[in-house]
Amino acid sequence: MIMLKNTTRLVCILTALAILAGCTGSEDGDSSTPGETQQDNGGAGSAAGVDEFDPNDVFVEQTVALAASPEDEVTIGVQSLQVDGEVMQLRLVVTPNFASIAQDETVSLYDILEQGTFRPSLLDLENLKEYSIIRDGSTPWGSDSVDTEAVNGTPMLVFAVFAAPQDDIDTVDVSIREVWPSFTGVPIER
Amino acid sequence: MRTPTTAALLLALAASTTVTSPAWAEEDFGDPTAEQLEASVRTWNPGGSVRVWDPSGSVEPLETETTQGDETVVSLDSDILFAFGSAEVSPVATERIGLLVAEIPQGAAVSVIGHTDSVGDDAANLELSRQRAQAVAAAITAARPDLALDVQGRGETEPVAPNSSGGEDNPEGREQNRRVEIRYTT
Repeated sequence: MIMLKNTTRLVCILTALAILAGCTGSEDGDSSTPGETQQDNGGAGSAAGVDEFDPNDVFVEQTVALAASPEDEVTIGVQSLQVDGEVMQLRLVVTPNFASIAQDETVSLYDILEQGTFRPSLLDLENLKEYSIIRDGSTPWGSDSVDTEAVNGTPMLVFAVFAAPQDDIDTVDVSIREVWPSFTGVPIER
Repeated sequence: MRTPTTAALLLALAASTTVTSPAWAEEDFGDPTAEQLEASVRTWNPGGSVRVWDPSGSVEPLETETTQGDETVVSLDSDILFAFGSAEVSPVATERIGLLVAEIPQGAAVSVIGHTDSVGDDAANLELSRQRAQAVAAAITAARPDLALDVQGRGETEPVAPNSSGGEDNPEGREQNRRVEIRYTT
């Protein structure tokens, strides 16, 4: 049979009241603030952090007009191309500046690519190889074209993951769409 | 501030508090049945919740070689070979093409055929495919002047994959269609 004894119930009430008294009355106890406690969440030596996104931190960028609506432009900046083990991550800063819509409307990557999927590629012209975005079936390891969106005029972070270089190369050309000029000589960070 | 007076008041309040029983008594509940216990536990299965990405197959070389009967077809990826809209072959690619034709029998007849995807004007695609075939032919001739070349451009007329699917653009198919083929019989 499951039951609580009355003595147990009384101890619970007294304990709760004692805690209440301590919480409401202490001024000379632990002087740490809630903010300081939260900053220690990672613990000593923790490698945890926040993947910060600085839209101004790009080393090359280009602005292109859409073919179907030349008044709509998009600025694409390459932020990094970083090798991590077996893979290599490309990070882009994409900023739509569409004159055909209001400034407070959102623009998706799908709109920017003119109803196309996001499938950038890396060209190694030294070894004549093309690196395509890694896929699992039809799912690419990168930003989703439809779900990745930003308010008109606002930058968004876009990423894609490729196989790590198979050869000892320092740079690749980055192609976002075949109809847009490639970024040439993009450095690979290791 | 907590003072002895406050604590004493609180303890006195607790001591004088009358504990009222709820409308139900614990004794009203019998032991849970095996079904109730079973239903009260949700078992989460982590299997299938981790996607494992496989980079293999995501890096494509310049050439893909296939055999059709006694004919060998070497298909060169135009996206690697040429810049967009260009028909200029780099020195590195010229050298690679020379290696690809090194084993072709002396004096053999070789067809060099350029193809594009369906994007753009038909006539422009036909012309671009012809120029690209000529550029590849020039690289072949530089390495193997003995070969008899038949150079053609066929534009978008002979796709090897659908340029669109279900009314939607099919970029993977279009990429396969942008190619220059080297065909010869052994």
